[in-house]
Amino acid sequence: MKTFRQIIRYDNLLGHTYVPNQNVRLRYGNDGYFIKTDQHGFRNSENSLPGKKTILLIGDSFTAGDGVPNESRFSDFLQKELDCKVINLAVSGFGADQQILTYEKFSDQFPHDCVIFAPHLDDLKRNLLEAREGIDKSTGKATLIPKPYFTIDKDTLVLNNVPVPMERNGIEDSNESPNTNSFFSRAKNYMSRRVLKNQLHPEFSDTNSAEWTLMHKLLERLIHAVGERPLIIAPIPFYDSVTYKEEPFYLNEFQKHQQNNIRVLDIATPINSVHSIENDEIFLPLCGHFTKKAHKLVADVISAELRSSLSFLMRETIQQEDCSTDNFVLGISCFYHDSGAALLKNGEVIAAAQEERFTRVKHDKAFPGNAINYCLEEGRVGINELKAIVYYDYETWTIERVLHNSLAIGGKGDEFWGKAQKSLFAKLKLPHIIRKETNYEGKIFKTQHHVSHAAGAFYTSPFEEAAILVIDGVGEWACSTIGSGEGTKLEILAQQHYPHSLGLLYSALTYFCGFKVNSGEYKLMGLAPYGNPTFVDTIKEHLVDIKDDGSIFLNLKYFSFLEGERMTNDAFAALFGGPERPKETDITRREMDIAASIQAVTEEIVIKMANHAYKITGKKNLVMSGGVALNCVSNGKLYDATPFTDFYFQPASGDAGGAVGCALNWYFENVSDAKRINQPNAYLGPAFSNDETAAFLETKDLTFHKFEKQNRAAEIAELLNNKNIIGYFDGRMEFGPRALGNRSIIANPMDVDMQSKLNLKIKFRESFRPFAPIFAEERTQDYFDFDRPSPYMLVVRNVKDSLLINPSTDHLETDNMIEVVNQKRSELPAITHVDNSARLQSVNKDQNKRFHDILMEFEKRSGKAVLINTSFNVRGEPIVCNLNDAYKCFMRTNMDVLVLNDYYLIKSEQSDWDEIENWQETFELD
Amino acid sequence: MKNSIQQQKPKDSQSYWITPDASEKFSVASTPIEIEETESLVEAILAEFNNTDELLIPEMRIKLNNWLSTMTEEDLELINSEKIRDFIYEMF
Repeated sequence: MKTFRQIIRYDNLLGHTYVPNQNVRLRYGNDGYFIKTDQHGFRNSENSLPGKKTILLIGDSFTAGDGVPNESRFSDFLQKELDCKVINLAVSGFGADQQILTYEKFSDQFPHDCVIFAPHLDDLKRNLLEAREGIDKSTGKATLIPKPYFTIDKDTLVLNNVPVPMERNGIEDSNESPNTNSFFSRAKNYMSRRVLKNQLHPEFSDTNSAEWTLMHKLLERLIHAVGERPLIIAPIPFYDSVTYKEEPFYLNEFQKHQQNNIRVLDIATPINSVHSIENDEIFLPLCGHFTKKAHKLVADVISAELRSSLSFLMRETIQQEDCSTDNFVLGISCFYHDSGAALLKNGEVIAAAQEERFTRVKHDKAFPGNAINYCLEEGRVGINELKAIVYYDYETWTIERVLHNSLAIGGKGDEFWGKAQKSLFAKLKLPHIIRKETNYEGKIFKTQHHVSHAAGAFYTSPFEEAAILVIDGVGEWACSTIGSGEGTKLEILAQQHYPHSLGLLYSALTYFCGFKVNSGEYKLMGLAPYGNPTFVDTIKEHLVDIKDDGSIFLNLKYFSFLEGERMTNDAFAALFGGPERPKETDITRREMDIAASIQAVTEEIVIKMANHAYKITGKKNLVMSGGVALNCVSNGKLYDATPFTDFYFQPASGDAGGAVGCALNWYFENVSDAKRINQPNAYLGPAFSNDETAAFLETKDLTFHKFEKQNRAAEIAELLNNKNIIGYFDGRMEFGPRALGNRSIIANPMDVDMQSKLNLKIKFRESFRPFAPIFAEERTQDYFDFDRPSPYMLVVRNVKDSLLINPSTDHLETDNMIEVVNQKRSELPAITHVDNSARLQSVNKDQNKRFHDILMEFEKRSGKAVLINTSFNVRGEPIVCNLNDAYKCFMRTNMDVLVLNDYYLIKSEQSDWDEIENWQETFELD
Repeated sequence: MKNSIQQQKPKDSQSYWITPDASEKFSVASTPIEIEETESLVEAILAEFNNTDELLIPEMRIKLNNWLSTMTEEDLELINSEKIRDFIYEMF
């Protein structure tokens, strides 16, 4: 069972419960299931059945239903089979002691007619424990997690450890833990039993043991609390007891408490009768909990008892579950640069996320199982309720292109083809992988790579009609595409095919300057303002022929990407005065000038392509996508250099964004009455409720504060004005490569030292790149040479002249970029690049009211509604996704404050940080 | 036999843009390639090629056959092995 969420919270009486008000999809093997919790923190399905008899159920993970959704548990089957309401107050990990305390605490809040107590036999041992072992997800360390427990003093139960201590003690060596019934040792024993199949439970045969003595006392306490109500005791057997058809020896002990209104049920025998090792339909393979079939069997046993002995009435018909009429479509992007998934509901993009955020592997290209799980969770939809799954690649065309490539390079072709085979096989088998990894049985479709980008840009844009321009490295054959969008129709008008690719040309120069292809391009763009475009003529004379319509032809004599591995060759190096810059070495003036030159050439090509798109489409608006659309410098030039009146740049223009576009294209091609719903923002990832946040903070026993609701923005603004650097985590995670205010590190841009402080103490990099500003949309013209919204940080424009204080051209002469970048050149020094430009992100009240409020409060204090916004991560790390990621990043760095939704932590109040992971080596440098 | 990787610049060309074939639908079912038997799969792949001279097809058929006859389910397992990361939630 996997989730990126916090689903357990601290409880001072019970030790823990689930986090309230959640609807979480846990991944389980190749499948997943939803767990829904109520306001009290129990997996209690919503059921309003006034006037019905009510059963209250207590137990542990078997009763709570680990491994199955709420509706597949015996509690929920009972509700269907009997004319009654079932309240399930079971919690994973509870001993009988915690189950009985649960009953005592909540029985008054849930009026009921009958109680079912379903202890697992392992509770005999759990009841004696003061704490259980677990793993702290932040530090990776084994810890002891306290729980309440009873002892017997003079024949009387004494409750200990309440309030349950929040402090968790670490375990130095879990193998030598004195806690022999620990999570680890039990897991080990469990596996041992499953493998060895010869160890049953002689330890419980001694009815005078401490375990049984305490269990009897606890039963007496429960019976007293239940009073005259009927009580069903249904002990859950061990796995191996079932496997070896062991007689339920323990029933005799429980039956000592049997009375008229107390029944002890044997659920082991009916389970034994259908279970076999070869065909295990009773226990789930990964966790050993009950299958849906086992839950049904248990429900049958209990309902028979309730009907015969306790006069509960059976319903005549089983209610059918509501079937959703919503049209859900899942888009998938994988096996290229960034994997991702997106979910449409009736044509609206309601969820999208990159796989890297969950796996913490930057640019993870693997199958996006976690992103898919999140999308299904957000949509509250099962995988087989989807109308379609669509992926963004005509893999047969990609295979075709690679075959042509291998033939084109002659003698090296076989080697090239050999290297590509495994990767291509994965692409070819993607439908098979989808079905295998998700248990999906429905229809699967594929959309062309560039069409996916085009659809993702046009259908999410605010425009009824637009020209479409897609530019990237390559997708199948296409490297650049011009299209036209009208209403719900999309047309492809012109393309350029591999290898004549602007994206590959830019990547070749990225590679040559010592940066990583497919991730270092934005560094080259940031480096460009330091250089003089002295190589423009070289590039245009030797490397690329540019036509007036923006179409290009690469001179393959200078490139080696056709042979794979390297991007450029010796002839290329000769053009630029020597070999490529080795990674992580000093950047010289040559690299700065190359960066300036390729940036100038790129701008020329993009502008010409855009003008050609205008000419052949006649549309007044332009939408863009593909990796080159992330070049925010060239985007910024389009406003002045083309006749288009308005622009939309898809915020997830990279490969992950293809997941949105492929699904949208399928939707509009296959749904006759489809209506367009533009995407108002890029906040499409998971959010974490305040319940979950509080549970995270309390469970970890952290020192934290809660904002006063009315003062939240003001308090954050005050912290910023006092030069605190804040890790800001709020609301839904962004989809796309940029942090847009919900997973951001924010700071005061007027502090001249802030840039170097952020770089060296937070991001751990010596960066020549400035930080981006995030500002109130209505103040755009006050600070920048721009008069429109720029919500996605995809446009670079100049800082307003009136704010510049020290215009300089030093950067065009010196090699010391760090010194230059830290010079104060405007009233907003930390966000002003050496050429006086800035990467703009505007925020309005509709898109992100909570952040807008902070900006306006900051303006009251500082005079400017603008902050530094840099992604919430360290170099090489994916942007933080969940609460734990944010907390770890905060503790690993020198941030001053961490805001987690409506809560905040102050670094100086936190304990010393010590963790197992050597995170500085974990993240591969980009 | 024409290779579709264009390496030599066409003479006197005013533009390198090409006009793609008109297509009614850009999203198509994956069903044709969801078959296991190698020869049928190869034919299904070839049937979807749209940028290959007919004369090249026999050579590509051989390459595809050789390729797919050596690939197994285990090759797919390797794809994901790098990313298997345990982030089982902290239940206890």
